[in-house]
Amino acid sequence: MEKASIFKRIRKALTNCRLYLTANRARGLKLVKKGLTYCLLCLLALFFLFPFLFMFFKSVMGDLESYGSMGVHFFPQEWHFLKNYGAVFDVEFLRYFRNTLIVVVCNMVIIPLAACLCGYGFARGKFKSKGFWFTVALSTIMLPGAVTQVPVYVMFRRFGLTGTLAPLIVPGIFGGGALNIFLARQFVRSIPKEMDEAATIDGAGKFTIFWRIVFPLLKPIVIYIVINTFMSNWRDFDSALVYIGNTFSSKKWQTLALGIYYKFLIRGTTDIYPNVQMATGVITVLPIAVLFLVFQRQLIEGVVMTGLKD
Amino acid sequence: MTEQIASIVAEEQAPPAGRRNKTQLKRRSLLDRLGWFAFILPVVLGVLIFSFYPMVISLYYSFFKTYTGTTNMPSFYVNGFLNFGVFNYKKLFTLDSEVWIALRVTFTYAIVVVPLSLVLSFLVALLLNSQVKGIGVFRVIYYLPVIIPTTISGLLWADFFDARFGLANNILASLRLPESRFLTSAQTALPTFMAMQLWTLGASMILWLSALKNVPQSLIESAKLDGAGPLRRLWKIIVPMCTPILFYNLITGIIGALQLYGPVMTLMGQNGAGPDNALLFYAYKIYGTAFADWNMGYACALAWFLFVIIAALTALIFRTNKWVYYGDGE
Repeated sequence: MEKASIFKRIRKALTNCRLYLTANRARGLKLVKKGLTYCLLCLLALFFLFPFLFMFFKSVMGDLESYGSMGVHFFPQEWHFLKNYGAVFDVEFLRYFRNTLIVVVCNMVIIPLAACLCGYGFARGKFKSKGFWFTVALSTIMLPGAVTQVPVYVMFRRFGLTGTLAPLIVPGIFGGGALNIFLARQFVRSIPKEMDEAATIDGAGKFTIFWRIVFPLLKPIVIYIVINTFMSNWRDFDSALVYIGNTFSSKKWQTLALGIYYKFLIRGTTDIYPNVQMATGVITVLPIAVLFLVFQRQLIEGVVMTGLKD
Repeated sequence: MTEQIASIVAEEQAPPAGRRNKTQLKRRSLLDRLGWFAFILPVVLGVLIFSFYPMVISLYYSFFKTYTGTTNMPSFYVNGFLNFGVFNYKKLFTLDSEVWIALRVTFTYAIVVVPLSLVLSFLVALLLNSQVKGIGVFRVIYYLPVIIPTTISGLLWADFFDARFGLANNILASLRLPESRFLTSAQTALPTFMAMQLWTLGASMILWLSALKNVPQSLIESAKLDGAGPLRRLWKIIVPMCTPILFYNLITGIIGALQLYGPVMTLMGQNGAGPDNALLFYAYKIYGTAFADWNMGYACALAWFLFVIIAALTALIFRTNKWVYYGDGE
């Protein structure tokens, strides 16, 4: 009788112990798993941050160290922050900067306005060819740029506009891009119709309704389009290369991306050390990196929206 | 009671909203419709001026010869229609060996990079989909390299992969691996360029992430209850439900590769085609023909050939999209 109860007790304790152990093991495993996840996340973060770190560290190195002829380093041996970053802002850089600013600011005003006007028309318009034109406008996204590039260049050339900033600004007037129109249209459709219909009864014209009532409501999508326009125009290399190029007269209109290409990558007579090149790179990336960090939620959502609804 | 039901039924059988709109539309004045059309007029003009006209005229140009030199235009203004002919296409298909090199380079790149980056970005997205604290920060960091401008990334990687003074060889040496000539040798130039694309995985990763978020949690839970392991859940539920994004990425990836020239030009500087044309991408060939050789007619022929290839590819992918999941009943 006694023996049996002792056995029972021992058995109970053992099972308890086993239960406790398995529970703890599960917890331990979970911790290990979590730790491993973080390790992996951090390793990948280092990988993706590498270009930025590389660029920044090189930008503060001394001239010869950045060149690498006396041993290649990742971390700078000595810091020349002010000297290198001061050397970035020469006459040419300021000119590139001014040109980029002109393009960016013009487009930041024109493109959201044009896209919202067209988006409003496509969302609320009442005419037969609406669906047709919407499909046509969206299908231009699929059209490869290479096919239209030469004729569009020839067109701008005939008007004497190649070698100036105009080809980078004028196309925006015509609707501001199919994707932006699509986004604006989606957004207008989410606004209750009663709002603008009430204004129609009050006798307001279509444009007044758009400007006074609808456009202020489009603020979130306008912000997205403005930021996105800034980023894509700031980064643009391909069309600046084609329309502006590097002739004697077009040199004064080169944008940042294009100017850096001709100055550093197609090397001329002046040899600039990599540290100043990288400093220029840092300065060029900085505005869009900051903008991206501030507006990352909207921008990523926008990427997803335009990516998914295609 | 029955009257009430009858009235409800009658209400439901009233003409649908669409038809009512149609009768309203007839009554609306022409002026009103024109007013609405004015809103979309910019984009209508834009499509005609910057898409439709150039597309048609580009085909037309492709049958003409252009003068070499910097001041030329498609030269039918100078020579009339005398030099109208299919010689550009003859050159494209029979005489110009660079076209086939360019196609080989471009397709090699697309066939390796598109699937590989799809798989890798999916794995990264899976990792980012795990529920741990501070995951938002990692998401932003992973996306960050995507925003680096083309020129700057060219500047950056050209320096990093410099065969003599670059950090890349230094890293290889410290890992006791043989040094590589990277962008200066025909064998390693394309693989090096492909490796660079690893840093822009963030773009497709973001799309994967949103697709993963759209997988209903209830589905995964019920699969768990049925005893499906994590791998099985991944392969049988998550991957099939992510197919639209796979599909989208596949098309845009291939089309993007066929149109790529900026990144190669900025990376290679003066020698945009790379050693022994190892980085001669098709779009770069078009760019060089049009804006370095100023042979606009031939460039248009090349561009139209590219257009046909892209259209065929897109059609092919759309034709074979039975494995794409677009939600129930849609």
